[in-house]
Amino acid sequence: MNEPQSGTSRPASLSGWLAKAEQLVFGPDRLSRVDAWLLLLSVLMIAVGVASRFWDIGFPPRFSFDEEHFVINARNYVAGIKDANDHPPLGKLLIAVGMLMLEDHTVGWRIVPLIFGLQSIVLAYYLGKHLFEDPRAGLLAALLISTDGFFIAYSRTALLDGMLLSLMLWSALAMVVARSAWGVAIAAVLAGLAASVKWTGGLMVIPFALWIVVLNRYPWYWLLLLGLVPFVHIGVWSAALAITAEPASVGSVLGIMRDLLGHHLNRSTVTHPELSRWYTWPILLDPITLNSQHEGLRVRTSSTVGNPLLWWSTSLTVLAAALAIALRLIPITRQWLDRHVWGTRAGEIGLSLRAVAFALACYLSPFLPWILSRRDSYMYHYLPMYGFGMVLIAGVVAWAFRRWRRVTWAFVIAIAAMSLYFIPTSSEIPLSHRQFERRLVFDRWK
Amino acid sequence: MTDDNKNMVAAQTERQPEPAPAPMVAQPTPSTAPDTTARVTAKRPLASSVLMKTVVIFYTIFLAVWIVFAWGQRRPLYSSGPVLRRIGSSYTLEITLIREDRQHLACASERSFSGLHCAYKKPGVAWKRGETNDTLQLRPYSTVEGEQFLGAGLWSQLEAQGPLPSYRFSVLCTFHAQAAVRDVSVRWNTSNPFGNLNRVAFVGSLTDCVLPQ
Repeated sequence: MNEPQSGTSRPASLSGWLAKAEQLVFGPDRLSRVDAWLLLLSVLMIAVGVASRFWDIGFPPRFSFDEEHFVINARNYVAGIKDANDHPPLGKLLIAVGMLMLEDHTVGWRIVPLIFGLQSIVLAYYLGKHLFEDPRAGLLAALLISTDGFFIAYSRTALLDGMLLSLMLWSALAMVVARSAWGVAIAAVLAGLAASVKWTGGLMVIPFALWIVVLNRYPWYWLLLLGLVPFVHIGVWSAALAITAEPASVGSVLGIMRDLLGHHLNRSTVTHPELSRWYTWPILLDPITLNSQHEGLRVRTSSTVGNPLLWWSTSLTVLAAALAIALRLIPITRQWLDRHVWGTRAGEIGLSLRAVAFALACYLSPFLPWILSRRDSYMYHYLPMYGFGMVLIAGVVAWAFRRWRRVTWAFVIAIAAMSLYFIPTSSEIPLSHRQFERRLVFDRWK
Repeated sequence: MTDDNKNMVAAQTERQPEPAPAPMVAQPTPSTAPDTTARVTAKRPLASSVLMKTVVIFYTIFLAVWIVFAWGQRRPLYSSGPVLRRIGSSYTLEITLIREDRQHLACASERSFSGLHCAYKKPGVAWKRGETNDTLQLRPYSTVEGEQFLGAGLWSQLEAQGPLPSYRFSVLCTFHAQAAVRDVSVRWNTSNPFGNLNRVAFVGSLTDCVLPQ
């Protein structure tokens, strides 16, 4: 009598496990509302983006761009030698972890930035999905980050900015899903870790404050939890100093930070062919070439050009979003905007003003150091802004899908096609000179 | 209204109560400010489950990528050194040179490293008059990857391999790292003065040097 019972209970248990696994990855009631075609396109494009990150990642078999600085920094940490920190230590410690995992060679240098580059795709999905409360926004954000060359190039090199972006996205996600003081504390800790890669990460406190006080009216004293950011930062730095047997007290860390701040503020007279000012980044005027190597009749290049159509569309979306928020302050335009964009009408869900404002704040905040100082700046400083720009445009496109489905489909397909066309220029896939010239059409892009 | 919109509306009405409506969020019907604390705590499980998923996925990616490269065949293709660089280890380096470097390259430091020392104690002050033992005399070198280090014993081994090329060439050597220095003066060309290295460099002896044919 017992056998039939056990026979019937086993499949039920298996299906239960399958349902749990599905829920773990996608969450409840999510996929059913997403177009199957969009899901298929996203999966295919993300697969291409992941493959382009892995493909021949050990190339070039030497330092690429600024890898020399950070790999040597990481070697110092591995050897327990005092390191001169041009940036906070966490990014270099993470590169050192990769070298300990796979030894000291190009793949070992790049494995941890690759892991964080892949994680950024996951985080973009969750951030888009939960910020805009629409899984379609999540899928689009993941699609865009996975296939844009700027992110691919930084997932393939032992540089800090890809890891910085990943931790900033993680902290933003933690804040968006936070429903308690604990959630805010976790977001602050993650922002502290981001700040421990590069100080830009600490600027997440600006959108966080906006989210807590203005956009959600959470208890004001939750703001105090953002004070965890410097504590985490100093803690990480202190641990790094302890690794190299240096004085690791809070006073020592503050002294190093003061010197480093002076160092950065004094870097206003640097001359470099790839220098670019912050206001040129959204128009893609002076991208960086991380590596370019001629192999006979072929060129292998790692450029930050990315996908120009997506780049300029993102900049226009940022501009439009800022304008739409600003115009909401004027009564006449407010009424029109609330009817056609932000509000709910005739059963249609409007674009979430709260989500757009937060994504916009995340995009704009990292500009501050470059606007307020004369420190030498380069296109790669735009990577965190561009990452949040992807989330913003994904949310807007997901909303546009509900209004103008065909036009939006055409736009998404054009973006995907353009990404496929440009991926070889960021993932060092060999191109003929003609193919290279056709993609990087402007002299300033080469 | 499309089916999609109906779904979205239905989904929104089914959702758990939102946090307090923000002043910037457009709503069709204004509402009085509710008890924010009560509302926000109602969704607490969501935050933990989403973040937990991202952590689990991160560790999965971490392990998967590690396994792919650790068990893959890619490592030997790009290995610039079979052993991790640390004091006490030995590894192969490819050093870039011109034959005049024997005269050009020099360093200055008052420190001695297990008998190895620079040609000068200070710029212009020789370590010891008449001391020319190449196996003990450190010189600054750069690898083809741009890594700089102080090594001893290179030129006496190259001499035994016949005339050196008149153009820039590279040699493969085994480097035995014995110490690390930062404060050391180096000279890359006799026509230039000594300058500080301004970076950490390993110090050690070079053996098994070969000039690739």
